[in-house]
Amino acid sequence: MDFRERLIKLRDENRLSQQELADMLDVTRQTVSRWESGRSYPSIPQMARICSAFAIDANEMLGCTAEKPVDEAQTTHNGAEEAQQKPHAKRKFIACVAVLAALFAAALGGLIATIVYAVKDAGYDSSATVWVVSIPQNTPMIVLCVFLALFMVLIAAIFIYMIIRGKRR
Amino acid sequence: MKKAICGFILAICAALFALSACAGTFRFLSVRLNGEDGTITAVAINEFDLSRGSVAVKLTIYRSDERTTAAEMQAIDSTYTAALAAGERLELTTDAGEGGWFCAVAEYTAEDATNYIECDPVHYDARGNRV
Repeated sequence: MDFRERLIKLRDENRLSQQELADMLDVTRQTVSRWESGRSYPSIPQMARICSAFAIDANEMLGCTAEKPVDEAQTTHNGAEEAQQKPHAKRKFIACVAVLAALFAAALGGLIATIVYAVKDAGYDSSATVWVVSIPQNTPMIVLCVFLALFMVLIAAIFIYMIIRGKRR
Repeated sequence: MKKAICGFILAICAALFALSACAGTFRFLSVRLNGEDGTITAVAINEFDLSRGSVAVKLTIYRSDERTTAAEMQAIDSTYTAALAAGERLELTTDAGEGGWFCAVAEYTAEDATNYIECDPVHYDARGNRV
């Protein structure tokens, strides 16, 4: 863990905002932001104030000493969590890419089919097409009712999901 | 929640697809008309078919002196097939005669129900050229 990560961690642990920490150290919020993003480092007097504010040793703050056992355990724990999350995120990403690829392939297939039919039709003077979609005449009414109910549940679920999502935002 | 909705949609689509493809009817038919070298040609094609059973198609060419619907035209020639499989075509060619308004109608029977599709009437001269 380097300096900027320690600073972020200490600030989070003490539940301080960047502005509050900046006020404590007598610097601007932008300065704290630059330290935390690694774009600049505090001067020696500023480092002393940071160590004083968090009651931490300067060597420890700068990463010159080994982490405390508790920190080590925490770090290990966090590392394990990250290791668990990484494959999950990768799977999610692959699933998204696969869905997008399938949609793109379907759209491309539709476009090609449309062009093929348009070219075919162009060779004739008149044409008509029809999709024949039907279910067997002896299909029990209960099956149709189940399908209708499923569609209604689907619409309701989407509606509820949109409401919940809207509230979260 | 997202996964549940996606799964639900996929399940319904799969169920409908399976129901129509395995036990019902799911096909795409077309009928086309063309004139050439003093003849009029009508073509019925089973473009896409996922159905279990076959489709019986009767293809008829109608003619009249005035532009009107197929119901009011006179049938001049027809052909029939009891089973038009996916990708197959049924073709019918007839003489253009003195020309006039021509129309092609495909009557198809599937699942014991008969329906038809007809293309728009086209005016041809005696040489089969579109007027």
